Amino acid sequence: MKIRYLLMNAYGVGGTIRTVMNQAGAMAGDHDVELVSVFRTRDEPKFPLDPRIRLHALIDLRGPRWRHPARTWFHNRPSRLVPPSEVRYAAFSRLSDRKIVRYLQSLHGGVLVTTRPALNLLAARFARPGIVRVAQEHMHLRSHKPELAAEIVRWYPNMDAVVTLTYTDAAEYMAALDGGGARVATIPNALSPAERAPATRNSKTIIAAGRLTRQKGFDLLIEAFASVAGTHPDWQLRIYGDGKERGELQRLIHRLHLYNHVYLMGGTTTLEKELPKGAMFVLSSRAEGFGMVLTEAMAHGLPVVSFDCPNGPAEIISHEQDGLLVPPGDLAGLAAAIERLIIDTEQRHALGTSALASAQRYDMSWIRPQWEQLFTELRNSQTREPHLE
Amino acid sequence: MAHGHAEIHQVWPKDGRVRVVGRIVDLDLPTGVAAGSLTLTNRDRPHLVVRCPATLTGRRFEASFAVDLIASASAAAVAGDQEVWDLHLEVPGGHSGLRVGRHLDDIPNKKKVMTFPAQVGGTARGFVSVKPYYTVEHNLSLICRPAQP
Repeated sequence: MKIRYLLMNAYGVGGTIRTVMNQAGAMAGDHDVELVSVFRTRDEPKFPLDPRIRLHALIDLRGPRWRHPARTWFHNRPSRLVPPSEVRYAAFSRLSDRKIVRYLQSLHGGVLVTTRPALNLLAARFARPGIVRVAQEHMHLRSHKPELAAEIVRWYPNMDAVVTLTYTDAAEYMAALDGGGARVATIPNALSPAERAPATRNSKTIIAAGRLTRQKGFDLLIEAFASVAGTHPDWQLRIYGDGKERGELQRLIHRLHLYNHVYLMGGTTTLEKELPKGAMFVLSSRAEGFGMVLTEAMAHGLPVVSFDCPNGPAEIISHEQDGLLVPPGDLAGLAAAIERLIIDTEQRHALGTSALASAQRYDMSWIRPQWEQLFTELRNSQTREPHLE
Repeated sequence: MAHGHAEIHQVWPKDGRVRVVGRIVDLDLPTGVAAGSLTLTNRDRPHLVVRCPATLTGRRFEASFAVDLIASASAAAVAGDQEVWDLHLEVPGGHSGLRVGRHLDDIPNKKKVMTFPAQVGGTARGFVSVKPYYTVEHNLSLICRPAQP
């Protein structure tokens, strides 16, 4: 099967980029896989790419070099095809409109996977019939602005499938698309390939990780941890990640006198080396697209305590089985759940052992066949349809 | 570390004082309670030393000093320069100057990861901000600056 993944920028750093490249790599063994990046901002991608995948870019943005004046003119004009409500609207241009549409119209046959709303909408509008068109959604429908959601409802029925990361989000899409055209499916993110040592869970270290932004709610976690540190002063909290809230979180730690207990560890590209040092993992997000870091923590055998925020944690965690879910924003509840796993060593180990087992469903060996089955079914239903007419 | 060091467990910059709690490692010590001292040495003018009492209980040590004390000794900070003071622990038995630091955990880059709030000390000539910090070698020092630059 010929499979093409269209990414906005395969040369950047981010969760979507990493998971798409991971997925493309897993498909490369048995299929002819091509990765197309709308923009190219570096010589080489930051994440490792399977050598069997062909990578090419539509628009090269590297370095100062001579460009045709017409190209520069188009590049400096805002996009007419991407809705301004798309979060990354500003990155697109008249030049990218032309390049993307020309690319989509050049395709014949195979599977085309587009990976963010702007690209999904363009594929829905401009890719030729005969191509299996699959829209991936890495955030959830409710997180989009109403204007963007309106565009999605208008154009996504042209797609062959819309694939969400969670069932909750799939339900939203089914309702919004109202039975029109596209099949809605759910396939979660697979764990990235990495050596994962199991945690002994005997340290007195609690781990959290994510970009230091409001969405990740580390301010809530730090406040909740203040009462934990009061009762269990020998425990510490390590938060991995960088971001624009760092200064503010640091001041919060100072103000609450938690500097001996809470550490902003900074960003790391090897979280799998830090997770085994923990006794539990905590997710305090206000919202998630999926919550991939939960599956990674669980794959190390860490019990997880998480806000039941939209979307993801409730589908990843079985409450009281492999982790504890706390009502979103309930600081006292979060502190109580953490303290429960501090005190009840037996339960901590039991939840952690189950977490390790239940994370196996996110192994690529389980996720890859789901994609293959979806692509095959979509292709079959497409080739069958003309015969029916 | 041939002649031992004072390993920090906690630093509490709070209520106008800085309190340091930890444990003496790699050094033979008598058991029981003893008196020692925490010294603060001006890095640029090493003859300038501020000394405060420390309690030793076996290997455990605890010492604290008033921010005002170090503020009034930081003449240059009032004038607009920054001054750095290095912390040592003196224990009975002649072992002078065990450097106070944190070396026995796995946390890298402590200068950025383990930070502490500044406190302000008042002197007759002005206000000085006093802030404990870990050096790139993971030793504890104080940085003094004018509170209002």
